[in-house]
Amino acid sequence: MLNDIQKSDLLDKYLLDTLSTSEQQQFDELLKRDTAFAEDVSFHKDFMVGMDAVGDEQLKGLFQTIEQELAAQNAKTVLIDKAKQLATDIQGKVNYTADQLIALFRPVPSYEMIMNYTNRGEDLEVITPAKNYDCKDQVLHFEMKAPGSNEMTILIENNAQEKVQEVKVAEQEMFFTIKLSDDLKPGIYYWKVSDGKNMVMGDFYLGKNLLPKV
Amino acid sequence: MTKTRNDHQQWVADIRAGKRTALQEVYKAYRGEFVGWLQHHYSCQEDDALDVFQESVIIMYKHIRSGKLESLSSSLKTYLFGIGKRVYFNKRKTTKHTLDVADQVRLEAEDHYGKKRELNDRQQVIVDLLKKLREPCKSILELFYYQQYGLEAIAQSLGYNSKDVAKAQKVRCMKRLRSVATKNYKKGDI
Repeated sequence: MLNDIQKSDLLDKYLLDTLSTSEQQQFDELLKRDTAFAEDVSFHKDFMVGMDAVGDEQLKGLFQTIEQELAAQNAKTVLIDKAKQLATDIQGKVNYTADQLIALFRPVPSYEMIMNYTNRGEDLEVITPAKNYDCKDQVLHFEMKAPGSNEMTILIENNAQEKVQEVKVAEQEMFFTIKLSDDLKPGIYYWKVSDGKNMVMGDFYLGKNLLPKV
Repeated sequence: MTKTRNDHQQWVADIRAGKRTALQEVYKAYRGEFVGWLQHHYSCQEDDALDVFQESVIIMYKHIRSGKLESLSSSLKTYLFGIGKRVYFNKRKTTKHTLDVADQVRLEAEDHYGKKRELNDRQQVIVDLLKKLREPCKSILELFYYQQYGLEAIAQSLGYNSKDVAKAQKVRCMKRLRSVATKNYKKGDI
């Protein structure tokens, strides 16, 4: 026969999902034959749902405070970014002739073949960025279906097959982001993800709005 | 600066220990990237993406607090984004995006992710009472049942002489809450 404190302990373990097998049996027995205990369990279950709702609301209050902080910090950054983007667009239109832009956006045939042939990797598999990704904010979000089993190297190459950026990412990472260098010219680029054993590649555009219509 | 695996493990340990600053750091570290990721790759509106992010942080927080997540096989970011993907797809409840078999299995197993919680009348009464609860009951019940602190830690945190004193106080708080809740059920004829 359990006393009130023992029953309370058993109930707490049930609510926090920490009952052992023998305690679970004891709990089930008690629930069947002790009506007061069964009522107590029912109240506590409602209580847990209520507590969860109140706790979540408090966390959301904390997030709201963080959002206000971030908004104040970001207000300046957004203006600077907009000015930079405008300058880049104007610079792109002023600095490149149509022929230069055609050259910058010319695909690399051998890379196009590799991309079609490898079907975006097997052992190492990338879900995003999608093929022909139009990158507008100098950021590439990678999502791996099968991440590398070793440290991964991400190479960014231009269409002259020159390395313009290299980033290392820890093994088993499923999500990572590459912030592209601000001084990259508009054009078609290629990313290569390699873990030393396998390599998979894809392409993306920078400044695709400058791509000459032919 | 890129966080190392050890930094991520430290975050888990700090959140487990109840350090809210660690949760704030994780929030700030991945908020932008997470929202950007959902917007870019799943054509999600910014407000919806932020909702998904906040729900995902709450789920991650509960996994850490309850001990479901103790050690990381990848980074905390991968863990958080993995939750986010499931929350997002559950919210969408659509087949617009093709899910692979593994995703479908995970979704079925954890289909509470991202679902709107609906409270019954009794639960709503309890929520209203919990919001009005005074100290020490407010802290003791929240620490034990939501934050999942042990009684020893609660006794230390709230200045009780022993875990038995904290336990007795918790039991008294629950009895009082139940008694008031029962009266309110009757008032509202629930």
